[in-house]
Amino acid sequence: METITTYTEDELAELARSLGPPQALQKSPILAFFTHTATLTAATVIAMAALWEILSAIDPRFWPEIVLSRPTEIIPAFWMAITTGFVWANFWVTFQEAGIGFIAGAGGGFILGALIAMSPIFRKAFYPVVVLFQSTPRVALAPVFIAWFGFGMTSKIALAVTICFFPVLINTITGLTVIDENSLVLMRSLRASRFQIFKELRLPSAMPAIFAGLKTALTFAVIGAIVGELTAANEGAGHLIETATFQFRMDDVMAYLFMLAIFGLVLFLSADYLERKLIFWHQDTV
Amino acid sequence: MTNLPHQSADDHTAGLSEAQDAPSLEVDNVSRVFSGKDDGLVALANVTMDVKQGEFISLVGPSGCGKTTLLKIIAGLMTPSAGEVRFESSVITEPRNDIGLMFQTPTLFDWRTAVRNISLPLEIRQSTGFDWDTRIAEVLDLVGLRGFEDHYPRELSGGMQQRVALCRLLVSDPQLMLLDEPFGALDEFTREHLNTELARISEHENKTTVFVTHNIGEAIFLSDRVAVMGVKPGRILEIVDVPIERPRIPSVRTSAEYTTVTNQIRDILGLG
Repeated sequence: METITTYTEDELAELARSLGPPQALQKSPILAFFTHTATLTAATVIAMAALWEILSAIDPRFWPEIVLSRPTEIIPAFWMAITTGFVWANFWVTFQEAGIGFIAGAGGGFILGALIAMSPIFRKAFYPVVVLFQSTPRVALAPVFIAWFGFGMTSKIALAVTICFFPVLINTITGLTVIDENSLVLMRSLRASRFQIFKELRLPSAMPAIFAGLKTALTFAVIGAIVGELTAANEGAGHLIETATFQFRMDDVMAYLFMLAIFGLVLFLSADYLERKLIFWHQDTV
Repeated sequence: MTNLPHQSADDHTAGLSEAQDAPSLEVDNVSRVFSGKDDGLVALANVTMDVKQGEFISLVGPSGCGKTTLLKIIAGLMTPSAGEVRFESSVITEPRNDIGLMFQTPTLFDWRTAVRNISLPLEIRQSTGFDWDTRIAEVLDLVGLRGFEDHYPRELSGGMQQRVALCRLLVSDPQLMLLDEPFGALDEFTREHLNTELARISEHENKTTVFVTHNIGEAIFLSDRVAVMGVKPGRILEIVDVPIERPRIPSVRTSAEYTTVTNQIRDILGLG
């Protein structure tokens, strides 16, 4: 048998130096720039805008400005919108409706979800009702809420609450119930109390699922507020869009939609950041 | 050693020879029949086994021989259909603080660092009467985990994760250790290495240990005695003595006694 050679740390480092870096994996900086996600995304957006602009210029009959404005008109309209206090005031209304709706809906969803997951009595009493409501298209409640709560913010908040309640509720129940079997056996063998099992095992295990529900709820809350405003309102982003559409100010409509898209993206990225910080142990967060 | 809730090693060596030979763990005619999905399945039939204080015994057998069921009954996590299990003369009816459990999977909490996984039993039981940090440092040294205290489980290899699980088992100084295939999911090299470590720790701590495995070599290397189990119904076929000197070091695996015991167990299991 051959004698075993033991390398020292220095000898290993020397060996690594003599072999050099892995050539095949090196990429030129230029290639790296052109294959970067941000570069490619920007290129796609610019190409689509250019195509849109060209089609509008070539054949105005198929792309009448009254139906769809060109990018070169939308950009000034967008600039106008974001520099107008009136527009911001309306977006602020929507933001408040969605925000209050999210906090109340998600909070309520979490609390009821935890009660259903932890108590068999609650489960039997509420779960069938939850399933019934969950399978109802809740945006259909918009006119009902207008009738109940009027044209103001309350009806929009009510709709946002109803819509974002369920994803948090369902994910909380799933997260708290689906627990690694051995972890539960371990806690039982340590004679942990129900509360200790909840605090040390169930709640942390459920965090990724709960957070996924919260992220969905965040988007849903905005949808709820907008749908409410589109149904009947005298302020808010939905109201702005509706008014502009009726007046065939398509450049403004596109500008507002663009603002909403950015608004949504900022919310999503903030939630994503918070998720990474709070659930640092979970790797599958995208 | 620090001031621990239980002190075993000294009592053991200072005790009279009768006290030493008196069984610490008594499995008395235990049977277990499953109802429901596996209706009428006899998982265990009339299992009787005495384990002395400080003794290391392995349960070896094919899948379905009831070794994990037996371990769960000893742990107080499952009730026997007939018979009873006594530890230190009292009947086991529920999980106890002087019995510790370890699984095939590390079962660490991903949101806790290594050291906070290790302190989990102390936190849950709100243990008092000794200094936690001193005890934790002691088990970290024993298992060779110093320097990894603040790592999260996902930053550790499978072998290191099982070391953390072993620390979590040892930290509350259980008088009876129950290990359910703790190294079954590891690669052969890591498994062999951890077996050597466990043999050393077990000799140092001198605790009564029941070790479940389906690896005959591992069972012989670690144990004073090996209970060979069979299927349909799950039962103990024979309890084999392992006449190999301690300390158990890697060279044990190439000794003549090791081969003799291996052949003896393979005969009982009908493996030829």
